Amino acid sequence: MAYRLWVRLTHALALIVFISVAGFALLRLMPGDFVEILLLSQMDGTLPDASQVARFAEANGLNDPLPVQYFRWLGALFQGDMGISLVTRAPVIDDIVLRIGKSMTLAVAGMGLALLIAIPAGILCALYPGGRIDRVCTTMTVIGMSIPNFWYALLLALLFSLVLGWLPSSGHGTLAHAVLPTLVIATSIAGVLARYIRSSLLEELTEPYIRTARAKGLGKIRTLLHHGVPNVVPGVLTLTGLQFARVFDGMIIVETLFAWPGIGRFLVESLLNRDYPAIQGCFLVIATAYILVNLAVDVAISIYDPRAREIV
Amino acid sequence: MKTRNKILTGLVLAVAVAVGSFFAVRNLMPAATVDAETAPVVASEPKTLVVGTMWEALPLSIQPRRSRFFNESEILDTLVKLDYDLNPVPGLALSWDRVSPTVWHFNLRDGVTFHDGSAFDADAAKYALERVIALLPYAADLLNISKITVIDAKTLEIETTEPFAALPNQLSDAITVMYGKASFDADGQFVSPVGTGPWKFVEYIAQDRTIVERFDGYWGDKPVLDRIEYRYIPDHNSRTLALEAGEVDFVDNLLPSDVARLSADEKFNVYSKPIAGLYYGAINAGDKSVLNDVRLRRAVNALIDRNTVVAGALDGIGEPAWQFFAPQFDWAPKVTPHAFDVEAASALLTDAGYEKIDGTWQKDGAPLTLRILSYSSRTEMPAITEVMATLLKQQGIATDVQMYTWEGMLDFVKRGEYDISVVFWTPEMTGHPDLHLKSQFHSKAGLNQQFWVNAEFDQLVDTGRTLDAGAERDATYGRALEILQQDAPIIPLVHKVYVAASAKDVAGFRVHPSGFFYDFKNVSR
Repeated sequence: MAYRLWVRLTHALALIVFISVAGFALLRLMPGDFVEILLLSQMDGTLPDASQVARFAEANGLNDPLPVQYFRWLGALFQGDMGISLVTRAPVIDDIVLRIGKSMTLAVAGMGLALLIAIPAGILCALYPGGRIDRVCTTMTVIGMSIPNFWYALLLALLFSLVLGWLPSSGHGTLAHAVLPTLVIATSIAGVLARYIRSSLLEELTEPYIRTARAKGLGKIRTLLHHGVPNVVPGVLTLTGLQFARVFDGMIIVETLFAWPGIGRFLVESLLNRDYPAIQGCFLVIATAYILVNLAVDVAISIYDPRAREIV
Repeated sequence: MKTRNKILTGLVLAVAVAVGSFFAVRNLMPAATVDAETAPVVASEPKTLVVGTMWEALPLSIQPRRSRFFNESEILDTLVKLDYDLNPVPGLALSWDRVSPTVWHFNLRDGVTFHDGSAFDADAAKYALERVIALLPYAADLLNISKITVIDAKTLEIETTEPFAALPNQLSDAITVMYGKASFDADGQFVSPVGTGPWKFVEYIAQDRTIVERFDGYWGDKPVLDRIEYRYIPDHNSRTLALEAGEVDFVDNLLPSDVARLSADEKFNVYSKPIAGLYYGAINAGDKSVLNDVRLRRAVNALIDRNTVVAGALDGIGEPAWQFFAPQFDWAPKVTPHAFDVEAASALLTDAGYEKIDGTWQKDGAPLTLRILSYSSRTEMPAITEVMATLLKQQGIATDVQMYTWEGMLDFVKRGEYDISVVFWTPEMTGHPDLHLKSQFHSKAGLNQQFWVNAEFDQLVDTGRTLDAGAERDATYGRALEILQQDAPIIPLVHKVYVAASAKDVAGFRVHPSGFFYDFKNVSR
C-alpha cells in the first residue's frame, strides 16, 4: 500500500507539473503582446509606448526564453514563492492564502450539503422506482442539473433577500452570508449525485446476492440499506471527488455573483487584470486541490473496500 | 455480519462527515464574525453611507485605477479641481500663473494639514508630484514636467518640457493626487493613502470593501456623514439587488433595464446625467482599409442614426453623439455636427465609384464590406457595435463584426487589419481639448492607430496646447475639431450618461461630469 501510494503521489506530482507548464504556456499564447498587456492593465487601458514596454520587460526578466522563465518560476515555487502579483504588488502566495480558506469553506459546505440532499433522495428513488417520490426527485434533479447556476443564483437571491428579506444578497462575514452561495453550489451537484446513487442502486438490485438476501426473507428496505448501499459507496465517493471540478468552476461564478472574496473571484479578477503570476498561482492551487481530493478519495476507497486495495 | 457492520459504519460515517462539514462552517466562521462587527450592513445606522461599486477590490497600490478611487472618494486632493462644468477651480492650489511660456507658479492653500497632522506645503506638493511621476509613466506623459522647484512654503514652481497651457487642467486628473509622505514607508513603498481630503482612509478589506471616515481637519466644508463604506459588488444584477434589499444605500453603473425599474419605484432616487465619455468608431484611415477615402468616412457617418443607437443598444441611457466633445461643455468650441442624411451619403458613395445594386453598395461587382471590431469586457460595447453594424447593413453596407478582448482587438488594430474599431474614452475628463486630441489623433501620437495623418490638424493641436484660454485658443481648437468632423477619422456614436441610484433617504448627491468624482461631502441621510 505504501508503495502504491508513493507511485500515485509521483503521478499526481507529474500531473501538477504538467498543468503548471500548460498554464504557463497558455497565458503566453493568448492574443496580444504579453508585456504590453501587462502594462495596459496598469495604465488604465492606455497603450504603453515601446520604450516603456522594453523597460518593463527588462526589469521583470520577460525577455528571457520561456523555458528559462518557467524554471525560474518553478525554482521560486519550491521556496514557497509564487512571485509578486502585478496588481496587488503583494506576494501571490499571500493573496491566495487570504482567500483559499473562504473558498474551501464554500466548497466543503456545498459538497456536504449536496451529499445530505443526494444520499436520501437517491436511496428513496431506488426504493420506489417509477413511484411518486422517484418522479418528483427525477424532475428536481433534471432541473437542478440543467438550470445555469448564474441565473438560479440570482433567483435565489431575489427570493431570499428581496422578497423574504431573510438573507443578505451578497458579501461575507456572517453565517447568513454563506447560506445562498452554499445552496447554489450544493444544488448544482446534488442532482448528478442523486441520479448516480439511484441508478447504481437499481443496477445493484438486479444482482444475484440481492435475490439471495430477499429469498432469506430480508425486507426490501433492509436489503437495500444493508446489501445494496454499501456496494455503491465506492462509486459515489469517486463521483464526489470528480464533482469537485464542478464545485471549483461553480465557485468562480458563485463568488462573483455573491461578492464572496474567495479564490474563484480572485482568479476572475486576475484574468481581467492579466495578472499572470496570480493566474498561474490560482491555476496551480486549484489543480493541486482537485488532484489531492481525488487521490484522497482513492485512498479512502481502498481502505473501505478490500477488493479495491490495488487502486492505491 | 461483521463486514456488513463495518460497511454500515462506513456509510454512517460518510453521512456524518457530510453533516459535520456543514456545521463545520459554523466553526470556520468566528474569524468572519469579527469582520461582521467592524463591517456591514448598515442601512439602519444613521450616519454611514454604504456604496456598492462595480470596480473590483483593487488593492492598495498606487496604480492609476486605485489612485482614481482615492480621488473620486476624496481621500486625496488634487492641486486643481474641476467644477460641475469641468472648469478648473482651486483645489490645494489657490491660484496659478504662467510666468513664462514654460514656467508656472502655483500659489498653495494655507492651513491645510494631512490626515496624519503634518502640514501641506510646497515641499509636500513637490514630493507628491515627483513620486507620482516616478511611479506612473502615464502621469509623466500627462504632465510634461521637467522640473519642480520650491520657491517658498506656499509657492511651487513647475517647469514644463514645452510651452504647455493645459497644465492646470491636467493637474486635475485623478492620478496627480497629493500623497502625503506618510503614505509611504521608509523604503518608499506605498502603504496606505494619507491625504488632505474630507475623508480619511480607515481600512481596506481585500475583495470586500474600503472604509473611510470624516476628517475633521479638512480645509473645506466638512462632510455631513461620519463614514462611508465602499463595497465591491462586481456583478451588475447583484449590486442592484443589494440596493433593493437595503444592504447598500447607493450604487452606480446600473444596467439600463434596472434604471427603468428603479425609476418607477418610489423607494429609490435615480440620478442620471450626461458626463465625460464618448463611444466612437475609430476608423482605419490607412492603406489597408477602403475607409482611407474621406468620402466613405463621411458617408458612414451620415448613414448612422445615433438616436437609434442610443435607443436600441442602451435603452435610451446615453446622448446621441454627432460630434467629438459632448456639447454641454462650454470650454469645447462649437463645430458643425454630423447629421443622419441618407441622400448626402448616397451622393458621396456614388462619387467614390460605388453603385447600389439590389440594395447593396458595390464597386466592380464587389460589395462594400466593413470589418468592425470591438471588445466585450465593457458590458455595453457589443450592443452598441451590433446596432451600428445593423444600421449600416440596412443602408446597404455589409459588415463583418468581431468581438475580442481589449488586448486581442488592439492586436488587429495595430496591424491595421480592421475598418472600424468601436471604443470608449473619456476625452473631456480634464476639461481641456489637449488631452485626447494630442494623445490619440496627432499623427505622431503613440496611441494613434488609425493611420490618420492630417498635417493641419497636427499643427493646430501642437499650437493649441501652448495657448492660454481665450479667443485664439478657441479658434485653434475650433478649427482642429472641425477637421475632425470633416475629415472624419471617427464616427461619434454616444455621449455617456452616468446613472446611479440610492435609497430615498439619501439626499444631496450630484453627478460630477468627469465621471471620476463622487463628491459625497454634501450627502446626508
